[in-house]
Amino acid sequence: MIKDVQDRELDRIMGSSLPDELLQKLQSIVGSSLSHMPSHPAAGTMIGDAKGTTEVVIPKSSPVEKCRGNPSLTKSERKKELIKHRNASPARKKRKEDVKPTIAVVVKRITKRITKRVISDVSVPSTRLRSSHAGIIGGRPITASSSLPLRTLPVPTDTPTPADHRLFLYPFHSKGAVSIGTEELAMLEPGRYLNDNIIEFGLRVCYEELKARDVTTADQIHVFSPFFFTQLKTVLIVPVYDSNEKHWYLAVIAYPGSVFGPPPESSSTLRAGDGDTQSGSSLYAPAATIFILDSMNCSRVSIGSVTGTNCVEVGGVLSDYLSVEAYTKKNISPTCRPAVVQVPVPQQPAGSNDCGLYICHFAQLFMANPKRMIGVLWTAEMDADFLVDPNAVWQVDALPSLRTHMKNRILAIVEEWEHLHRNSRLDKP
Amino acid sequence: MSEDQEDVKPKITIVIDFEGQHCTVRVRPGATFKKLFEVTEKRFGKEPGTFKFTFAGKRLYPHNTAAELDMEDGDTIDAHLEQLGGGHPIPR
Repeated sequence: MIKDVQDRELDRIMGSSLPDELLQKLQSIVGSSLSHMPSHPAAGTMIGDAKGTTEVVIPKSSPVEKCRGNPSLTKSERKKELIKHRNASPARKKRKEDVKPTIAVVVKRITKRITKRVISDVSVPSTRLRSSHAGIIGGRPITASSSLPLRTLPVPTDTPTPADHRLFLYPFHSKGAVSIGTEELAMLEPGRYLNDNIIEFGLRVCYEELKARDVTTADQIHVFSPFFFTQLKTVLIVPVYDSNEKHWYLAVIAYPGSVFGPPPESSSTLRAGDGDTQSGSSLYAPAATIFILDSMNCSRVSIGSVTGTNCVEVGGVLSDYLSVEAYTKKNISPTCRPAVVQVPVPQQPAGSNDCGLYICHFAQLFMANPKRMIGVLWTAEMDADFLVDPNAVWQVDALPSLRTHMKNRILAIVEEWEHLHRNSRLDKP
Repeated sequence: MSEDQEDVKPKITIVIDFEGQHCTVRVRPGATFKKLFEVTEKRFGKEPGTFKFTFAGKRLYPHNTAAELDMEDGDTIDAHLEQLGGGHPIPR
């Protein structure tokens, strides 16, 4: 792995076409000792090819090449020969007064530095990770609780840009799976922003769990990638990223198909209901609705108003999307627009950067029991008081430990991935 | 034999879409996307490794190939910048 990083780094450096730019980069890495280096090196030329391998080509006439090229010499003989040449050459004497390192020397120095950096950044902690969980095979369910033991992090938390190390692809055997690495793990440190990879992972992991439990229900739900994906199901889950506010929230679109008329009735169709409200099932007649689950309602809309600007805006965009989707895929125009509902969900505390974790939590609750949660979303729309205990419904006790929970989940999957990797060939993350 | 196979599969045209700006490249179906990603990032003036690429909503990686994903002539790959958020500004 270290070699891989070296190659990449070297490749990146070699990739620059301008010799001056190259020199600048080299200087910035190696330091001031290069100040005498000519901008057009004559002693050697570096070549980086597409495969990421790097070689230093030394002119054929050089003594180094002569010695290397002579197969009749043994290793030690060649070394002696080289030293003799070096000591005899006028360049050697000159170097004592005026240091002019060749490219080969520079490359060696960079390699050393990179190796050092990589070892201190990644290798040591990842060994720690392995040794501290020796013998554990991942994939065990982890329960959310505030007293979760924190697993060892494979990256130091204080370094701003540690060398990234990809851990696994999730789901394991899927095209277009999401890649999770130490970079994502580091984002689970308190206060840090989450990226699209973690959001996709957080939504996918609970969806896969539902799928393993109940394929019929899972088949009627589609989880979008944060970069958006197009397919019409009974329930669409869209992670929404507000690039201005640097904010994540969740849109759950229920019965998008009903904007084109009544949906086909089938006993297996996902319908709201948690058992005790069956008599009022007409209340839950499927009508296209966009539920907005936003952990920062208060900051963007006045408290008490059901729909805020943000919510209306995104609802409008999603409605438009549904119309276009219907028109292009089925060649029909929608008969009505879906309702947009801002659901009263738990709010993240002031100064917290946990919105990404909240949306994964909401998705997790939804996947745990889709039928019940659709019911909750509907009733929440009509009257928040209708909910017996919102704290229980939204499992607010789990909120403070979401980062730890997600972190542990990733680390458990790392173990599972490594276990599988030993047995079969999997794609590189 | 391998030469014959290469001849049979001609290069296909792939359009790369970054926020509405297009860039067209021709690739061999069997070649990995490594080069294509690098060229795209250079073309849009981004540092290597900046973009996240998707095809029909699925994430692409440098070791994937067009053939693997059943890509056809004229297909579009989307290039995205990383999305990073938490709700509150990070104190500096």
